Amino acid sequence: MPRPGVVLPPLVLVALLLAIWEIYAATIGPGADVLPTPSRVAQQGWADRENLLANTWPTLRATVIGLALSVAVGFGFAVLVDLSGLARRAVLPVLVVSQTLPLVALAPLVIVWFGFGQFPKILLIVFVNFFSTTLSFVEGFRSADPDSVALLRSMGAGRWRVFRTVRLPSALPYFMAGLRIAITYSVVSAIFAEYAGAEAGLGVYMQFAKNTFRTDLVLAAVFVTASLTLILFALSYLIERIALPWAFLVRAGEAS
Amino acid sequence: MTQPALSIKDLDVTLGGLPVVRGLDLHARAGEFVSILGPSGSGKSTTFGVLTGEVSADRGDVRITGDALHGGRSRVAYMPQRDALLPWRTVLNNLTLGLEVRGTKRAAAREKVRPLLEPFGLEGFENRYPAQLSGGMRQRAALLRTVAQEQPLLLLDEPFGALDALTRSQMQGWLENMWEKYRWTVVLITHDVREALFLSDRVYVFSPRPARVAAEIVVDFPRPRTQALFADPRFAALEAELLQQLTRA
Repeated sequence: MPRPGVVLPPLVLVALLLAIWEIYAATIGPGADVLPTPSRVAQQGWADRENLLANTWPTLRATVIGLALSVAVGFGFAVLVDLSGLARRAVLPVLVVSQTLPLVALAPLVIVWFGFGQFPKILLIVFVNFFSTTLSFVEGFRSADPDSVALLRSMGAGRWRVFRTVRLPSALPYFMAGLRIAITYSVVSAIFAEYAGAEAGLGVYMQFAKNTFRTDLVLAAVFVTASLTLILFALSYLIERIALPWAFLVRAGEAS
Repeated sequence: MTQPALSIKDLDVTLGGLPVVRGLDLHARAGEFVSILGPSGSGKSTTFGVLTGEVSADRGDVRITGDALHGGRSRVAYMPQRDALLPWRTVLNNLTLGLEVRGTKRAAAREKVRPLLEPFGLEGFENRYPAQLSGGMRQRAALLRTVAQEQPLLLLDEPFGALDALTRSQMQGWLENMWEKYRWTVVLITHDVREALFLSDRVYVFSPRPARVAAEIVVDFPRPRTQALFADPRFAALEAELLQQLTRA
């Protein structure tokens, strides 16, 4: 568990900022319709919780499926790049170029092509993320200790054996770091895709609230979005702790 | 007469156009402890590379227990400079790694390794991760992983190079004891003249690159050897001679 010295300072800062906001919005602020107080946001968000929750599930589902696919696609590309020099020369430049395409322009197009369902959302998430997941795997494979590789070779291990026994496990901590970056981008791109057009989701909810001048509900949805990201983030640490107990030992050893 | 465990005759190796080894002759009898001393970058590790199959030679005759190297299964057990224990495997699973890669089932490999835990001072630590071991224990685990492969030749590449001085001299004493007990055939690469003299039956001094044998010294101090050997004037004389060979080479 993180120590209080790590958790407390940011919590105090957030509380302080909320307090300033509350006082400003309640006194000299531009009015509740434009800038509601945090307490009003919480109150109205809670009152509309059913609707809010109903719109959270599609976003969460798209995010999780999108993440899983990003990881799968990234892994596939990374293995290809790792095993073949030709694939590395062919794939990596294309990956870099793919990241220069403007998402703002692409999102509406994807909706035009694939409609308002889950699929275009997931596609967009994968598109945003597979680059970083690919790179984190590639970097992870490369981080494999050359001594360990030489050791396995000396035992007569073939390429596949070396990959399975040394390179893949070496990549896992890098993969977890990449996953955490992907988590933040995934939630944001899901909302963005929903903004561009969808049947349901937090993005749709925000847009609807904005169009009816319910700034308090927009902010409530923003709060839910942030919480969603944080929960997924915390989950990634939990998974790492359970699946890679050794990674913490290695890190602790390096720190001491 | 029995075949030597290792025989290298007239070995040439070129790496990236650079002559690294030229006309190297070297051998180790079964149960012999042989050290290779040489300046940095003199081709000691490259010679090991030929034996592990990592590096291919231009020419030369390399035999392990009489059989030529090329093709076939790896017949050496190699211990790299750093322990190279895999951090995600428990100690026990690291120890069985060589046997597993060579085709033994994990359960059978464990049965082979278990009796060695006690003499290697690793009993009770088999389910820890390497990060939870001290430097000396990690090195002992790496050596156990090496000998557990049951190959006719052990190649130790500066096994104690990364340890602090105290742990290092403890490990040298420990290795001497273990060798007395098991009489493995060992080829050890080291920078440390005293380590080479303390542990070996014979010491080869390599020339600077391209490597060949510049000197071969028989070390016939009686065994078991202890720290007291360092005080022996004959030890000091040999040490001085070796240092001179090294600087001249």
